[in-house]
Amino acid sequence: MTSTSIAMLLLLGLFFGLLLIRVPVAFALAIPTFITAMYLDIPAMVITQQMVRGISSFSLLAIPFFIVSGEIMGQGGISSRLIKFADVIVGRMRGGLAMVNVVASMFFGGISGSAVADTSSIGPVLIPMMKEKGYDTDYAVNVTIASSVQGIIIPPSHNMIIYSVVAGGVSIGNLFLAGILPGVFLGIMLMVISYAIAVKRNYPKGEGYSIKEALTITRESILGLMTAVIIIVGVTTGWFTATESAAIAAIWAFFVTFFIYKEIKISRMKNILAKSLRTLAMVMALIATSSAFAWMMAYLRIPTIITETLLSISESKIFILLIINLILLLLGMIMDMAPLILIATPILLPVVTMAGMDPVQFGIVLMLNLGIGLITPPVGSVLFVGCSIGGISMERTMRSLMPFYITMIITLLALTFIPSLTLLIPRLFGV
Amino acid sequence: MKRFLDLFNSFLEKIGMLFLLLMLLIVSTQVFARLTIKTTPIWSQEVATMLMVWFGFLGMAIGVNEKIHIAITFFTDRLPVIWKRMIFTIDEFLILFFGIAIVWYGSRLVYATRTSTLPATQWPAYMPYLMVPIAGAMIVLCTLINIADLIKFDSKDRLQKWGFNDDKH
Amino acid sequence: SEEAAVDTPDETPAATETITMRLAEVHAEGYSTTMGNREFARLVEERTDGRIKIEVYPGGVLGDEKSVTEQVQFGALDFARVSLAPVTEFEPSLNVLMLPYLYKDGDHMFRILNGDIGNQLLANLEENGIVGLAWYDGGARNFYNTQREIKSPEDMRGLQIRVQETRLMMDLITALGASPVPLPFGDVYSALQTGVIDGAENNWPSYDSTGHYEVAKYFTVDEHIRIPEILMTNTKVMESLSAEDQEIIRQAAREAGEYQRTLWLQSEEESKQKVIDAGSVITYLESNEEFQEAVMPLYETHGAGYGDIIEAIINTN
Ligand code: NA
Ligand code: NA
Repeated sequence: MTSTSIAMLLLLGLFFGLLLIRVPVAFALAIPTFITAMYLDIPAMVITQQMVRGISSFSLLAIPFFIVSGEIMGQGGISSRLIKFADVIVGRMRGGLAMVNVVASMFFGGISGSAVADTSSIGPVLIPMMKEKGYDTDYAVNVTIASSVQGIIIPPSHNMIIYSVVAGGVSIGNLFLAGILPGVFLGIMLMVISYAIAVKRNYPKGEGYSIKEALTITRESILGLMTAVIIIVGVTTGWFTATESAAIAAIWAFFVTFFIYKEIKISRMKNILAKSLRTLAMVMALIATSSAFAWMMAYLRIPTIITETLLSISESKIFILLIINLILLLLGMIMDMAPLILIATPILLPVVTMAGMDPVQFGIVLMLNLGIGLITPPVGSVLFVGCSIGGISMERTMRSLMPFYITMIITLLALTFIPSLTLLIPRLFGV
Repeated sequence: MKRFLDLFNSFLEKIGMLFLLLMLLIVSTQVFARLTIKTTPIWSQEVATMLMVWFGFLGMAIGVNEKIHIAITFFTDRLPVIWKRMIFTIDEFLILFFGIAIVWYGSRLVYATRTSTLPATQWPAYMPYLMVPIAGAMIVLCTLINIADLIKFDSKDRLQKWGFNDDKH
Repeated sequence: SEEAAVDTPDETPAATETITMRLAEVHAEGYSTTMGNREFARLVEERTDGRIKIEVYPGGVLGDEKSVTEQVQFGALDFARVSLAPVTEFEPSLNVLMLPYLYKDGDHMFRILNGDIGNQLLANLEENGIVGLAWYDGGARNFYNTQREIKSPEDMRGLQIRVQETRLMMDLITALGASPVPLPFGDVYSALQTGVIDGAENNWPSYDSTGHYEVAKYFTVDEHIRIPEILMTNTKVMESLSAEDQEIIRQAAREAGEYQRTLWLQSEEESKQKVIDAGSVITYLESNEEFQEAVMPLYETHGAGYGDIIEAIINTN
């Protein structure tokens, strides 16, 4: 065996081994990288250098700001208003609260890029409400977690920023525009399946609002939704960079929460910053260490080898794209989103580009694919959060989750094989 | 010692929050300056990015102390307590190795980049790397205390970090 | 101990042993610098009868230019091809080569680089553990904008020009009376399109490949700055090789540089033709004297201490 193959085995074998014994993912990435560098006698300074490089990018600076604004909105009453607004629109349908859940997630997706944040701020309001109105708990959790995945696809999304950076500068504006249609499409698909189940299980309709109430709710929630508008308009017109728009959004959310809604005191900012700090500690560590891991993979030419292997199996574009989706779904079952974007992008982007897929389209396909991973066992952060909010076991949630998986996979295939679903809006804007 | 660690940790968190606010301030100033006086401070992107690097490594250390880094618990959850305790101790030793590695290689990186500069501020190029050995030292400290906790197995509140609760031991 | 001191024959590298070395490149496959590197690798392998094999890593997979320069410096990588700009952060005296309106033309620059001045500056670089092997061409940078033809610094007044976030570029734009706006490279197109900025600056091939010509049609050939590319290795890597192999590597690098320059000039011509056909308005300056005068203060600040080199460059034909 050559030293390169031993190094590859060390790197990948140790990585999966450490994951199994509960070493945090960030360190399960970094430790094998250090050991491989020592084995190959490469100055291991390069590993620390790459960890720093990984988070040393002005574009990635958008992530802290998005997370802070998400936290402000979650704690400060913007998300509860979005739920009411959704209720005004779709509450009176059969299975009304399920529809509200999906639509609220579409709105929330427009201000946060985090599926976990969506489930943890919409779930505690809607899951108990649904239970009270006679919905089964498993269904309430299913709808909540499945629809939360929209937040990653509907712009803005910090995961798209990570992708844009690792993909070598795919335009963030284009990615944001490309996510709109698929996000709405996914929402409609989820509403269809939720409605079908609601009819079958005979869930109730909502009660509706008077015109006056409806107007008040709309007016108030629009202030919150403005955050999304600021970011998307700012980024796609080029007035602001993604980082700048994220900063402005955070300031806007701060302003709306503390000077207009005034539901929480300004002293809560300490709590908001502390919670953001915890989320960020996790995300930034993952980005740093997976950059080092990705460097080592590139050094060992693993991406090239995988590309050549995949292309040698079959020349069929359809087959290659299906295989790639399958690989990502399987990896998504055991790994979290940010490290997978960082590791899979350099490996798979060259393959899909050779198969004729646009990097922007691949970005969105990747987002949905890994988003599905957030609600699949054994490792699915959104699934865990949803189950704990609903107070039911993962096994029970899983039993009725199948129709939602199927719906999402159909959406995934549509995004993979119909380029215009993603590329239509960016092209309309001519960028 | 543990009291010191808790104090130290809350101090680190305060610094982290300060960095977060500073980044926000710098970037907002940059946009504001560009839209009003039509120019931007030359140092803003470089300084904000450097703060994020510092923030990232600081967060990495805080995460080790507070066990907020995500890990796959699916397999270890199914093991008896005695196995868990052994495996978690091994994990801490592995993270200790990581801490030592970034102290050592981080310091060497600081040393190796002492002669070059950053493009905009002209500060020494080691500035962004400074936090690496510092974070490493904090990780070493935290993991040593964690290891002591796992071996002694008596401090209830600290053992909760691994999900050990009373009835299981 | 006694035994350890005995001079045991170490495993002397057998003449037939092959060494694999790695070369980092930020540009994609097919770009002139990448093709230059491939030519370098081919020549070295051929002339060492396959003893030294050089693997090229294109597309920036091992890091950006600053990062791979550091990697060469501390020995994680054997070679890198980078722009001179990040290298000046390691050896400030190289800054003098990037002063605005310094060269008469590209040939003039290459005479300087390949002459005594260039060799002296590269020797300075070796104190940082980096050996410069050859110069590649990166062309001249020119201004382009959405507003008007630029014929004199007067026409630049008030324009917001995107630059890289470096002191030299920011000072240059300010000296010419325009406002520098540092923006990430990927945001420039839409910023030009929406009027957030009025212009930017780059070489011909980038003006073409980024599509900026579609939104900013006024292109002025002022050639304000020439930033050559440099193929580099590490001093220890060179010292580990026999004198004969070192010479092979130096010679192969020089030839690869010439090959790259031919390709570069071709790509400049192709891009020029393409943007003209697409309707860009190209302005050639009758003289760049006014521009030169406007940037004189930069010679004081950025060329401080290197007055004699500057003079020597200007006096070289
Ligand atoms: Na979103
Ligand atoms: Na939801």
